[in-house]
Amino acid sequence: MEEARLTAAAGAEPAADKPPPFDEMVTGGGQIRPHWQPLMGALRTLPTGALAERMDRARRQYDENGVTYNVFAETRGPQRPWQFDLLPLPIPAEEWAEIEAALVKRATLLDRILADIYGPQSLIRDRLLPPALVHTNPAFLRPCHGVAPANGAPFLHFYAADIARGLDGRWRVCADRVNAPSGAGYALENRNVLMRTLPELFQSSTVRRLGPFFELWQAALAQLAPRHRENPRIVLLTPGPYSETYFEHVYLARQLGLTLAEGADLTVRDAKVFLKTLGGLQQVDVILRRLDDDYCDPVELRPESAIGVAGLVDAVRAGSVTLANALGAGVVETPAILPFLPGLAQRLLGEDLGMPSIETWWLGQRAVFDQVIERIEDYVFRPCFAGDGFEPAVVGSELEPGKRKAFVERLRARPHRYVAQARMHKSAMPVWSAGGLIPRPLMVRCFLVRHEGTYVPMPGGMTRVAADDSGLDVSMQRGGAAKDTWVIERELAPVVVGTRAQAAREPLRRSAGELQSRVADNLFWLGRYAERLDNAARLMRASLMRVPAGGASARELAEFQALARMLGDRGLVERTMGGLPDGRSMMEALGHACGSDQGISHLFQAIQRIAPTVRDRLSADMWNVVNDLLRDARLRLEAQPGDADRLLEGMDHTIGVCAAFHGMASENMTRGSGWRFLDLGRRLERAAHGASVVRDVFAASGHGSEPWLRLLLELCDSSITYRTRYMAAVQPAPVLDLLLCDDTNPRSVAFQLQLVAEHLDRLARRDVRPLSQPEQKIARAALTAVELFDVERVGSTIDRDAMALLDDLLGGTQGRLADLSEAITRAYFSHVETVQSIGYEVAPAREDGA
Amino acid sequence: MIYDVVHRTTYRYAEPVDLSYHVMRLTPRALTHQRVLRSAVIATPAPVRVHDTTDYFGNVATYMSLEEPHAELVVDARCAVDVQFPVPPDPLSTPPWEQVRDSLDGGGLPAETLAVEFVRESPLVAVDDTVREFAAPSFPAGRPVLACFLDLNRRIKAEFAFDPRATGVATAVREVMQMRRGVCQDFAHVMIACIRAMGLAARYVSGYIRTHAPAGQPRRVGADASHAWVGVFVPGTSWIDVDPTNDLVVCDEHVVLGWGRDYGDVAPIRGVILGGGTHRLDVSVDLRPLDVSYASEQDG
Repeated sequence: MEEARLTAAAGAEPAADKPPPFDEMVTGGGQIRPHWQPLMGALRTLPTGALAERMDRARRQYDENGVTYNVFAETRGPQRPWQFDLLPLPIPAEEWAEIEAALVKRATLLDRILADIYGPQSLIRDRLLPPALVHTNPAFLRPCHGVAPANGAPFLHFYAADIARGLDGRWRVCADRVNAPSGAGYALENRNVLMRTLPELFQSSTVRRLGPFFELWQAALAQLAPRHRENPRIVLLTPGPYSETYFEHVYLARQLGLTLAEGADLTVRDAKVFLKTLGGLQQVDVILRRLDDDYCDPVELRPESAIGVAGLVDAVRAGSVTLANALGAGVVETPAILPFLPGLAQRLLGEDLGMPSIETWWLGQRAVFDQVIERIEDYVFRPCFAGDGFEPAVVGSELEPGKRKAFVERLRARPHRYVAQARMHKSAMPVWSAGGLIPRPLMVRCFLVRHEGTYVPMPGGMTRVAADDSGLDVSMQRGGAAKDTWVIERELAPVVVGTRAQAAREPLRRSAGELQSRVADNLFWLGRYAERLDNAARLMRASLMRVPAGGASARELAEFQALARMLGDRGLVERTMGGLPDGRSMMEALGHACGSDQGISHLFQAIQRIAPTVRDRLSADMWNVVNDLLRDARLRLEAQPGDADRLLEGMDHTIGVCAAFHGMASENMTRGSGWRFLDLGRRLERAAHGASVVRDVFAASGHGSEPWLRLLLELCDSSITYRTRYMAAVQPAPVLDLLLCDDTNPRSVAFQLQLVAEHLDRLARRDVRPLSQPEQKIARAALTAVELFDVERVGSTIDRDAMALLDDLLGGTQGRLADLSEAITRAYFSHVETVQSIGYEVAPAREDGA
Repeated sequence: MIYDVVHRTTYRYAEPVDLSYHVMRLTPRALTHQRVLRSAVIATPAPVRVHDTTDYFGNVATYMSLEEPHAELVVDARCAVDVQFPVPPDPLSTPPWEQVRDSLDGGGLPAETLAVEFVRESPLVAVDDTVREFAAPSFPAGRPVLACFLDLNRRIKAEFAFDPRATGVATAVREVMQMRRGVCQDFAHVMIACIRAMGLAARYVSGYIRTHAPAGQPRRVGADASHAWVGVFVPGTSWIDVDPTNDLVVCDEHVVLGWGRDYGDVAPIRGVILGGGTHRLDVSVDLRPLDVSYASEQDG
């Protein structure tokens, strides 16, 4: 311990009032460092203004690719655009080699420490690790003790380190990322975007490529499989779309060829993990986890976790699945361990660390505590255990004298929960801004993957610069920006590529294999939301066109008010608009609805949330439609919500985008089950829309006079069809027939129901389930009711009886459609059942005495 | 003393449960002073997978999963044990509590690695000023550590009322301190919190207690259900079990299932069910002393 302390203290930086930071680009003598010169030279050849233009181009590219970083506190939707800077951080290959060597050593060390903590615990017995550091750390998962990864797999498969350079020009590790490290996908995407927007830069230097690292990673994951090593099923376990790095989960899954799964997509049976697909359960061999380990299993870990997989720890214990990283790995992520790493390195590796950590003291030792408090103004105090992370760091020198005593008492009450760290003056590099290049402190996240017994670093990483030069933290969460990181080769060197076993010859296939239940679910809802958006835009358009100016007739006013009510019922405007809206209040309500997160914006958001999860199932052009064109349409609606003409244009545009999406779906998607679910969603939604508008319009008009029928035809996009068939007069019977019963009209309810029934028949696997399933029966019943409807009787004289019959049919249809959606969900989708913890319905209590 | 124990837990669900996973700590722990003559945990309907593991604290944890729909789950835990806890040392012969505290502190050179685990707060045992203030009178300077514990044990029994309706599984120590009422689990947590507030080690023990016939004497509290008490650490003697619900030192009327930092580590049954809706739970415990030892009739 003594030794560890001395080593950490030796890493302390010279105290100085406000020393200038180490400059990455310029030497103390004002010279541009050699490895920056080609880069700066290339920049200088760009014409004036080019950088601003490239910046725009890059921004568009990030947007198009859907790169986001979610922040919980964000008010406008869960996603926030990616902040980036075009200037890369170049690192010469010789310097990089030293960084690599140190990080490989560190990863090896952390893996060994984990193996000891979850095994014999000799490090604790021999006092190289204070017991309380492990025992009081909530990331130490006791149920995982004694559970070694299957087949000799490492505890630490993937490791990330945040490193920064101090005043003395030496790199230090500021933090270890061990639990479920993020950022590798962002690093790759930063590289890709930069290569496309500033290709000139890459001609100036030989930059080591990132691609091979991902190939190696893929191979390394496959080797973790306890069985099926030639073709294992590997999933990336994500907490879901509300996770702040969800984009990266989707991106990495695609990059590494993994199945993206949420906890509810997996199930444990007889101590094996399975993926739920339409065709049944498929066994999973490896889980690359982006879910924090304590949330992974409500049975043995956090009982309140609703995003884990019940029974997962047992499956790991049984050795049927490998988790990367192992459950419990988070225990060494605590900064409290930093002062002990030098001693642990000596013991476990017989070497020193190579790269020191940022000067850190763990306050859980009495002697250390008193020393640190004596020099309180030299340190930053942070909670060191996960779960305490929301407590902000306290800068000793910024403590008001009056609050100092209370603060020390707070530390003294639970000293083991805090570390003191020296303030680090991180090196700075230029960031491009409208006013020119300005220096900003930086930190680099480096990534290493375990491959064949050693760790292989990504040649590069994700450099992050702080939002300003005052802050303590360089982090994306606090508004920093990301940069590409270059390892500059002296000359081209051969690149090591992971080898995968030679694949056997592929048999011909006509389907993409078993569709994951989650994907089917998302496609179904994508279809529903796209159609719902289309219907909403039509309804809003019809309302906009009828906003009464002066001198509106009583009938026009009634029509307008009926529309207002329909909008309110569907949540497209606020219901509180009152009983009798006028033109102005309607315009306000519509404008407000377009600018808020409710109503139509909610539909846009829903589509944008779902689309990335099924991106693999969409063609590039379809993706373009749901991502770019839809974003565009939304921006148009939001741009001038008060302007009726612009709103109308926006609605037209939205309707056009929806049409393009549906058109591409029918032209470009193979008729597999994926397409069927997308179309099923759309048909169900359209049938529901048809039934509900007919019902609403007849209820409002009482009998169905001509102008009302015209409105109905317009809302159901059947005006032209009607006119070509019936020329002039608009009468109830033909309108009802066209909109409800006519199975040749692609807008009729009957048409939708026929397709729904057909889809369901095709999806039901008769070999497995020979009898008609509930969802098939409901669809048939709904279709039959519409087919048997006596449209001539009802349409010829709209009296009270006729209205009752019509209302029966429509109400019944709406009810059946709701049942149908329910039945489909039950039959095919994965997360219908609630998960409950019993016997221990306790959220861990935490009392913070201060 | 030999006991025959039948512990039946019944879950009745409003809707069928499709899948369930449970971890049960219902097998008595083998100890030098507790011989397990036989034990079995049987669930109905029959689980797809059942297996025993030894958990981090050395308790037997039975893992089971059920994969067919069921509306009722019955778990029967039966065992026969022979218990005879050692007579505790004379409290006055134990070291002063401060000395024990210092030996457990990370700064010294403690020999007591196993005890260190039980010195700090744990998920269900938080220490606050109320706890510290309550504990303090039992720990005057220089008092032998076991005397402190026994005094605390007595005070909890005297100052807290037994009231099964006052608390639930999730009731925090802070609330129990406020209400001054609860059940064995609450009193054990309170005592553990007090001991840890002083920097000493205490663990939560789960098990059963013998009930005496009501004739003449009052029924002992904690009967006919799972019971819980506290293991306190006394250097030299290691762990001594005391029961704050009944103000006694455990001797031959308690059966130990297992121990942990708090209830969360040794809940008799915890699990996750899929589906099920609301559920009803019934627990019955029957602990019968055997007049005649039939250990010799057992074949293993």
